[in-house]
Amino acid sequence: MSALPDIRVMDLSTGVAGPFCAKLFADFGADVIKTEPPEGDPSRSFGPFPDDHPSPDASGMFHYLNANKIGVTLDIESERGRGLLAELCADADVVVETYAPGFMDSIGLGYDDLEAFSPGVVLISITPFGQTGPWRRLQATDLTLYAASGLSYVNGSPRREPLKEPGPESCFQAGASAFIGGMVALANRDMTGEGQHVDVSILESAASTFAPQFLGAMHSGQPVPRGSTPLLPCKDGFVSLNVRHDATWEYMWLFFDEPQLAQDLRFATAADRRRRSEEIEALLLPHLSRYTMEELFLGLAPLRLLIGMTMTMEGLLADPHLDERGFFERGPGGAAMPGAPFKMSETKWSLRRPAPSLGEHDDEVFGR
Amino acid sequence: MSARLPLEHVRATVLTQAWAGAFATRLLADMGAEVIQVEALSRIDPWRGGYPPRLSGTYPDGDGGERPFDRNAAFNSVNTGKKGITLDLNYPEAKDILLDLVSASDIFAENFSARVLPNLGLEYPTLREANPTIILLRMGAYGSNGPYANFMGNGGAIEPMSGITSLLGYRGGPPMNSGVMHSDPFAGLMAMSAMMIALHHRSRAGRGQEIDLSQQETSIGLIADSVMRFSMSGAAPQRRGNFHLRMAPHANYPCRGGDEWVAIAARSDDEWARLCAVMGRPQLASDPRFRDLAGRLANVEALDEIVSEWTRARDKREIADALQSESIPAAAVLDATELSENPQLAERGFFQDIEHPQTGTFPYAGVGWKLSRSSAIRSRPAPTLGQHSRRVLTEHLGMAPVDVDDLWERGITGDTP
Repeated sequence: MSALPDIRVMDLSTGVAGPFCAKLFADFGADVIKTEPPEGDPSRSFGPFPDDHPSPDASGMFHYLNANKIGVTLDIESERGRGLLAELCADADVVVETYAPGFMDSIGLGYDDLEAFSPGVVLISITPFGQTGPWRRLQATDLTLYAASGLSYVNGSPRREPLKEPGPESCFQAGASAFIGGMVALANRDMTGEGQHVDVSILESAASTFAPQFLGAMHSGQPVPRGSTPLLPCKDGFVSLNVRHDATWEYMWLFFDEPQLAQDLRFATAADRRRRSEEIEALLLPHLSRYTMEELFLGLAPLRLLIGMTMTMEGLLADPHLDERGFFERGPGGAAMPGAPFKMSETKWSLRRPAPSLGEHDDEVFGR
Repeated sequence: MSARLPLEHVRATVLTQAWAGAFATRLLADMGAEVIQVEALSRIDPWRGGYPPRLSGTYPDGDGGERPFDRNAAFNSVNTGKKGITLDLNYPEAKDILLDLVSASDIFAENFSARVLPNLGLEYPTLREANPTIILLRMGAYGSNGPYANFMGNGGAIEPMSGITSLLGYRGGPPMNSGVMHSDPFAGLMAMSAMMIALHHRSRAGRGQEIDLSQQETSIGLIADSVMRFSMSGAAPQRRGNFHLRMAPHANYPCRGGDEWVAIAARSDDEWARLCAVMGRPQLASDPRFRDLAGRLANVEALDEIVSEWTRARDKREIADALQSESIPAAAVLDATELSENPQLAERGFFQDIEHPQTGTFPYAGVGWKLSRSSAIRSRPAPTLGQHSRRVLTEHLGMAPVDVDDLWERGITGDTP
């Protein structure tokens, strides 16, 4: 059984944020039709490609973002294309779009137009800065949005330039925010019968994830400095290790067979340990160098220490825990691809069909 | 615009703590749900205090005051709009009260390691006995089953366990955790998504369900491209700072002043040519080293040095303005205090001033979506410890005040640890 079989979605979006929003609808059972310009969604060129051979129908990211969708091509520059689009939108509960603010109005498919021929429709618009405000027409990428959100500044070494997170993270944050906004609007429609326009700003989606640090800065009047707790080297990689409680501090030294350090008065309290973190690191490193990441993780995590292995891509694909949970699915060329973002006992996530090839369902959709 | 919030008909009883879980259930409260946060006096939310300052946030004026657990930025930022009660679930009568709350709720949520809920005797069948249509959200670090399910994890552990850390770092340098833990808030967004899906299904089918979210897995979703690339080619990704496979220049460049930076990204040869013109070096656009993307990627260090030469003596905002006037993506890198002055966020009302009884009035970060017909997010402060214990127990559950007094005297509920 799927959760959203009664929801019809028109996905007019390209790139990552909009398609990720529509993907969540599709993966949980909504009927999603994706329209692309005749030249295709740019993510068809993003790759990665099996054996590094670029092909518009084999892009890993395109497949990840657009599986479970029906795909048609439309030239919205033409009158015929716009007519077809209006017809498709008339049947939709949700329309997802990522055009520049004002564009949908300019082609007669703004929120008021849609509402007129599809009462109760929920229009989800995702743009870098939102539909309003002085920056609404500015250009942006994930890098520049991270810079403007406050997230870049804190990332990296205090002595070097700030770093963006790997992957198009702000786009995923915005896609999830857009999905939530759309689902909340549908829940509201259930109560009132009215649809609405969901205005998603990628900048605001990113900044929303900075809430704790932001309020901390407001409390202190000081910016949050750049940096993170260093990872500790071991035999075959790096681990993160956080000794929070008195008990776990003791367990750790018992594990390393150094019971006297567990009782050492220099490190008696959490405050002492924080102050003497460099001394502790010096004591730890020789012990860590004798163990692999996995030996440390499997030895210390059951003792309730907060420890993480710095997993490589290879490590993730070989990880017994992820394997037992069946997390990875198969994408283009049989490549491993992240699967269900969460497991639902009644309405399961499912991969029902691969992403559409360009124009794959043109005949089926426009013929019906 | 209606004064109604969309989820006013929803009630959630939650044990969520720290960041990921608390943020997920804050989003419910933002959208109008009544969210009742349950803590124990003997084990308060760790984000009320106890972590190093970098993660646990800070007190106004650096002063914890008499009730530091009510003044912590970390807790107060991700629990806005909730009610707060205390119940020591080790007592059978407290557990009965919790199950009474569950029977009057639509959602029950927690983000402990998998062993905790069974230890509390609160597994899904028990909850469903109290409420046959309850939605249970479980969102521990590693999910509800599998060999790591009983392990505790925070952002500092989940980022490396999800592969993100192995990709973050400077060219030739070691892997790094991020400056804030990105795994937490993204897990929170995905958990809110899951709860909305479950609410939709329940409204149609009349059935609840159990949601099993692993923060490790939601985090891996953020680097789907790197996972697939490795799986397809076997090539291990390298740490390369802000390097991007399809854009160059693509970096944060140094600007005038100490620790000031501007982000610049050129998505096409055309944008690169316009950038050259803005820098006053139009001839660089035809330089064979930089003419096309392949050349710019191959010579990225020389390219970054050229752009840095131009940015170094200039103001970060002036650079961003100059490039944006030529439609080139650019933005000043803002620190947390500068963020509050971001004109775009200010004009759209992203920050909301909220008055908290123990800290005063501060701006709080909002959410990534705006609804045209519904009210903005509910802006009520986070609850002080046990603030609503008495009211929830008497008004929601109809307990006699004298019985609440009894629980209070025995430390089963209360407002001071």
